Amino acid sequence: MESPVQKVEAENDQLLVDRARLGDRHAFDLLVIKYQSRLLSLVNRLVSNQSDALDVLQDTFVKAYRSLHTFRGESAFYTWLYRIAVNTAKNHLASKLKEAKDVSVDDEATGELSVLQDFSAPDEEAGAEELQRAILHAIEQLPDDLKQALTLRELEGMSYDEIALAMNCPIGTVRSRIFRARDHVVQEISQQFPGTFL
Amino acid sequence: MTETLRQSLSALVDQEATEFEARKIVDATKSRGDLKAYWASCQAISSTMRGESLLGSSLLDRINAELDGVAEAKPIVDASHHQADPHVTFLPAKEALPNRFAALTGQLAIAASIAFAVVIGVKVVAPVDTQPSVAVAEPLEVIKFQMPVQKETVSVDGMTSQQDAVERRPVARILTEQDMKQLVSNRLSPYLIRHAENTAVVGGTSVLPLARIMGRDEPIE
Amino acid sequence: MLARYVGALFSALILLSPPSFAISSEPAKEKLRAMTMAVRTLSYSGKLVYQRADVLANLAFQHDVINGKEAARLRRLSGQPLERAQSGNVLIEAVPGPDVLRQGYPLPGMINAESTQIFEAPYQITLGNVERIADRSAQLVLVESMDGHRHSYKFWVDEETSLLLRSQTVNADNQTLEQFELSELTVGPQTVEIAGGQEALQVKVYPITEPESVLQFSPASWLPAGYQLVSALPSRAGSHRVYTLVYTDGLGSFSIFLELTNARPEPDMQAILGPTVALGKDYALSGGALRVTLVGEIPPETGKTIIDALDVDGLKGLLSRTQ
Repeated sequence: MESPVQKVEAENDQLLVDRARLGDRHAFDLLVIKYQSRLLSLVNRLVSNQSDALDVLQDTFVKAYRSLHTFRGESAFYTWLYRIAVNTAKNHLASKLKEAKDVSVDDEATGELSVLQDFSAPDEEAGAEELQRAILHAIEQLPDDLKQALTLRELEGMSYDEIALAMNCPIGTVRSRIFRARDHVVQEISQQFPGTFL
Repeated sequence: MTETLRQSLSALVDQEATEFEARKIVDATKSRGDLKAYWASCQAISSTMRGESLLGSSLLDRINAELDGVAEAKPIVDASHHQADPHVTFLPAKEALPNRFAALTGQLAIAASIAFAVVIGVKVVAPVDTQPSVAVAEPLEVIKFQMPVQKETVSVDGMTSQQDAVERRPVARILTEQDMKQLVSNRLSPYLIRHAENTAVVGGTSVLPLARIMGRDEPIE
Repeated sequence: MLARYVGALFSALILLSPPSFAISSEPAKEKLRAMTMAVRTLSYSGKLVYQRADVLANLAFQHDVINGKEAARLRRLSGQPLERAQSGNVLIEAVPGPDVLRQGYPLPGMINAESTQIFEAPYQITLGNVERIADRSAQLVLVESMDGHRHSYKFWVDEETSLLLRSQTVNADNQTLEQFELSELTVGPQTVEIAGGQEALQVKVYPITEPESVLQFSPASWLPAGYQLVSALPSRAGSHRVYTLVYTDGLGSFSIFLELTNARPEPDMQAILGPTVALGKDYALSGGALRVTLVGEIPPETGKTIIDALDVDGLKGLLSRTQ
């Protein structure tokens, strides 16, 4: 039996999916923004470099958009997306394996098939790292009640109900604290890194 | 963007928005670029806290370009694309817990019990505040002691730093067997894991030594 | 990379028994050499059971070599899913969980992997009977410790492929401390799908790194005959450096971990898990401690002797300079 939390979760994503299915690309954009980092972590494990990973991700989301009509909501949207990503990455890897087998064993410049390598342009990676450090610092500076609420949500995956119990406060207060925590961090980051997000 | 809308967005990030709020946001995204930006900001905070890498808008731009037919659709498999000279840069480690090693947490199910463990040379019983030197893995079961536990003065409230130790008045306490087990486990378990990994690298039996740290508690018939 | 490791091991194994000890048989040494080569160069898969006292692990394994690069995978079949694998120059660990990729600490690669340095280890190596293991015919190879400073081993080597079918580590009282035994074996080309399950996975990657020359001083002022330092590497975790030294006699190995810590020294302690001993010893310094941990498949008393004989003053100096 679905918990109330799972039901709300499925409904929230389902709404975005339904809108996207009707051609609302903005709704689909929200889904891409939501799941791209999680999927990148998955895909990076399966392909040989960051550039390939982004190609696979792009293919995954494009395929997903074009086959939204086949998503029946029997599983969570992310699970469905996940399967598409794995299959796309495996196809990609299979072609890479074939490519590598054709390469001479003495040629160390190509045919590198370490399962996990991550290659960003040094500047991009440094920028992302700096941003993440700034985000973490901003979180660290939050008042304790806001920080605790955000941490319970993001790191422990607790629902608002559960956080309310844990922090002994109303659900509305939980919702408000998490929002204020995020809002504060967003304002901080926007001042330090203008134009960072879209 | 109003605070109300931002708060609704925040709730939607957590899958806690009402249906009304969700519809309102999705409707508003058609005309509000700042709303999408705020959504991306919240997702970036979540990704950062979870240790995931950040992507900017470039992927979304590529996806939309392909869906709009502006760019040539990328083949699923691009056989011509490879890096001639890869520069190896690993993703930065993102540990949620600060610990002495960037080591495994209790998620690695090293066997919880062992043949037997011995604590020897217990000249000074550690105070209860002693921070584990490395992340705690499954506790080792201490079955036998070679020397008796000795009394030691420790702070009754638990010290958090040596400065605290100076400031608080110590109270006598004896460590229990459970305390000793935890001490041994905290101190030694993570090194067992690392040694198994070292042996897999330098030994002659491939990854087989890693089997030593992949067991679980099942009695042998 | 693989060829260098195999070459080093080959050099080690063929000279395991110098003339001063009981004579080992050439066919037995040859069998052991063939086994080491097969384990790291053939393509195979199957299931195995690992046993140690009251620990039992049912595991699936795969091994393949592509373009000279080894890929091997162990996957736990009972209990919580867990996978550990090697792919080329990384070790990988995967457990179910949120999709997260993390980088782990660097692991020390071998020093001078192409060296023909001789390991003079006092083992007597002889052949035993032919027995049936995993529905295959296996030649027993007995590797007996001659000095009490290392365990003894029994290897059942597949007659057809020279793969290892069963292995036992035995103590001086002839008690079996651990056993690996294959229940299934398939030899042939593999697709080693590392972290290839459908469920979400937390994956950690440990790069195997070139050892650092600065640490190729060995602080062990006493070592059992035949043990050599084969790897040394510092790794960083937060603000701390952990120095790892790995020693082996070609069969048994132990690691020494060295750290300078701001924490108060903890009591000496020891834990024994089957053939593995773990010893912890802290030496007080002003403002903290030098923390020494030894872990290895060696007799506990040998471990204690090694750790007690470490050149602690030399270590303190070295670590202080290189922090």
